[in-house]
Amino acid sequence: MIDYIEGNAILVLIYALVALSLNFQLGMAGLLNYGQIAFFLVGAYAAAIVVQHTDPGWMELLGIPAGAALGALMTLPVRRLSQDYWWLVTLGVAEILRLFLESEEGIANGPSGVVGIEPLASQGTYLWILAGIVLLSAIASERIRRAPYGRALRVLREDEAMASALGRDVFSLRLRVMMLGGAMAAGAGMLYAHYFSFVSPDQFTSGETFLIFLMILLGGQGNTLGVLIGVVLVQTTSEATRFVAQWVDLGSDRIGNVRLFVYGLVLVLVILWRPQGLLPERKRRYRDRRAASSTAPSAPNGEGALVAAQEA
Amino acid sequence: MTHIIVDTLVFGSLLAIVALGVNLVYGLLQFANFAHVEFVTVGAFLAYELTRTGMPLVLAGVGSALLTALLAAGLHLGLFRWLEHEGANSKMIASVGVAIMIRAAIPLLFGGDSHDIGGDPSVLFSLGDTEVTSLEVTILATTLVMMAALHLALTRTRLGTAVRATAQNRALATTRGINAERVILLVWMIAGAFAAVAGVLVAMQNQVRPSMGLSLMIPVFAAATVGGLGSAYGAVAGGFLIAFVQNVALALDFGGFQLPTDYKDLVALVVLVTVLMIKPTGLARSATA
Amino acid sequence: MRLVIENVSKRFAGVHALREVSLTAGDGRVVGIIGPNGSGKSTLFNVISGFLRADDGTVRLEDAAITSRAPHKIARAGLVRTFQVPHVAKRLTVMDNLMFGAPGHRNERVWSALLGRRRADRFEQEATVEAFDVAETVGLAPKADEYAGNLSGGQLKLLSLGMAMMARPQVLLLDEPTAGVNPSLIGRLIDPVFERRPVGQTIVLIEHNMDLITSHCDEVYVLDAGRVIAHGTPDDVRRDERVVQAYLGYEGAKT
Repeated sequence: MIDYIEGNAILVLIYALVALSLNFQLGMAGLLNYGQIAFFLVGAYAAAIVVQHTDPGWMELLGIPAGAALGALMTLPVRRLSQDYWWLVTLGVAEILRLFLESEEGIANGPSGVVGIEPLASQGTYLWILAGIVLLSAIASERIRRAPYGRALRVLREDEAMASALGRDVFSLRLRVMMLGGAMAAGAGMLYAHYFSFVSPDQFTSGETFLIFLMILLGGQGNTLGVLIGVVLVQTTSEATRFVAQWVDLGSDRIGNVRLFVYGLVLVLVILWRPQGLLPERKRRYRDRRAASSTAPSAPNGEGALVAAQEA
Repeated sequence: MTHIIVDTLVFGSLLAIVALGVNLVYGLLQFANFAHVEFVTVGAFLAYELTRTGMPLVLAGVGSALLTALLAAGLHLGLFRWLEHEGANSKMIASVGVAIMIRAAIPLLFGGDSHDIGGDPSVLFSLGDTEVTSLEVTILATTLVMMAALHLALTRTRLGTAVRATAQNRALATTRGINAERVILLVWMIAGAFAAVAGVLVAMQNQVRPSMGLSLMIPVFAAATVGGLGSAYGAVAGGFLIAFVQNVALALDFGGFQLPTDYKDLVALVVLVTVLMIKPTGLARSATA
Repeated sequence: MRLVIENVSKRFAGVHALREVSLTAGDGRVVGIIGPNGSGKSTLFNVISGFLRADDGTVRLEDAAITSRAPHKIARAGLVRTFQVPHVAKRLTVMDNLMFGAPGHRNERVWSALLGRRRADRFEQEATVEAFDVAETVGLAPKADEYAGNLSGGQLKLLSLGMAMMARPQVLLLDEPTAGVNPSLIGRLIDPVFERRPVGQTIVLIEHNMDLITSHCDEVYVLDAGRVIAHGTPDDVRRDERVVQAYLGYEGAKT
């Protein structure tokens, strides 16, 4: 039982990393990237391929820059990046990559996949390692969100023309966030491969990307804690229904489809009724550090109304 | 050589009638409906179920088209209408949810198996180095008639003019007395019906399968985008272009190396990106029907 | 910094939106652009600021030809424009928007976000002080932490002007800043922009409000059907026969 719970917790943590990586693109920058699973796949397969060829273990870390490069690849050819069709390019790249690995047996056994990827630590230890990584990633995510870079991404989401008119290179911002998200998701993929010890192309379908979309939008796009909550909610629901399915013997296929139907419905309802998600993006309140001025703003300005502090 | 032409015409026309539905809806509501290809699957399954009650295939096809049209209208009334003033992203994400719902519901309602639906594979005549089957003629005839009918309807009827006017400038159209809501519903229904017929035709070639819509997603949306989102005529051109390049690329012999059919989607994507790099708004000159 | 536009033309599907328009603005002067609706004023701004590419002619900023430069590069070179319909980030607060107006693109890097760089932090602090000042100046201080999407139309105009002020451009293009604004509030809208101008800032102003043009502009260009039909001081232009004719065609002289 402990094993089972630990295993689930590990999966939740891995999904959390992928969700955080997509949150930069979807939640903050408003990019409809429907190919996020591709980066995850790159990382997982980097681990798998290295295992196959008994290369030095560290070589699989190349999966991370490979993820970043793939992110660049998705962004570069379509400079104008109209959301109306960019999602298609991202989906296409993800699907083609998956099909490629499925049909080219020489690279990683095609559909049979690669087995025997060694775990990096015992399950219990791995759990703590991952928890630490997720915690660091969440902190980094928050720092980025509150920094000028995060603000620029969010403005990008709202109004590109204005961002250009104020001197921001929209294309460069997008390119960088895609590379950031790509690298992070690839890292998650590597961690996944070492836990699951078996990778095959059918684990990386666009259906997975949908789940991550759901986690982000349900939890609260742009809100780091919200995204994490979304991950926990969706992943534990999935696991709980699978558990029940086995127990009650209702046919796991049926349960799977019902679950998927409900997930789709939830996504639609979230967009209709609560598009900001469970935990909306938090406002940043700036602190007014000017020397005592003649007019005190009557606004709720956190509790730091007019701090008459002398700044150096 | 001629088999490329035949295959292009057949597959291209199928892509065309699905892609033009995407663009018709885009022209009015400014978003690409991710769930559109699911109308294809729904159409095929509905037709199959209808044939199981003894209905002849043609009647079943018409019935399925009507039912799918109602489904599309229902989606607008129940969902997309309420998202009118939201950004395109919200509409697209909502359509992702809808797509997932439909895709999950189909095996629940109709079972997860694939089925044959009829379709005459007998050869009708020879053309150049290839033989044309009765089924291929049926497909081409049906799609061409549909596209011609739509063209006539758009250009010769009052309703068609209303559709084009609303797509071009809804505010202006409304001041002229056009009921935009009704026009939008009509367009959804046409899009749904056309996709359903495509589903039946594809199923005649290839069986009714739960994943048939999904497998068309990339070529259909590539065709719609290449043609110029919002332009129905562009979608038709896009459909034939994608089909053509796909067939040529798969037939070519790169010095002993042939592209496996798995790479069809890659070809469609390459065409998409290439066209967009040259003409970012797609082939069509203006984005009005 | 001087903005020099020479013989700029722009066609849209056969229609000449701009015909050989030439215009000079610089040395801290205020230049007005007036003309009937559809005369090409906003198109001219779009071409100058890089959102549209001129078919013919050149646009120069000081010595640099910016005719086919990307909008963000033109902004970085010192030319910022506002939009007729205010463009703001609706789901961010007023303060966020104002802070974004400051020319901080160099600090918007992932590494600065993660590791914190002293220069970036200092820039942010200084910009914060300035943003609060600007918010007060345009009268949006009470709404500082409000989502921009909750502002009224007039307040959105104030915000977009505030953002342009934060950018401290050497050349500022204002596209009908008072359109649709209650006449009694116009002063409150425009005065801050002019009073707090950085030294030497050149302003190019598209307006329909002749009072505003007369009181603030050093010189005026008149556009009609894409061409410059008159150029001179506000008084000269007001009395110019051709200008009166152009406006009669549109609607009576709109003061």
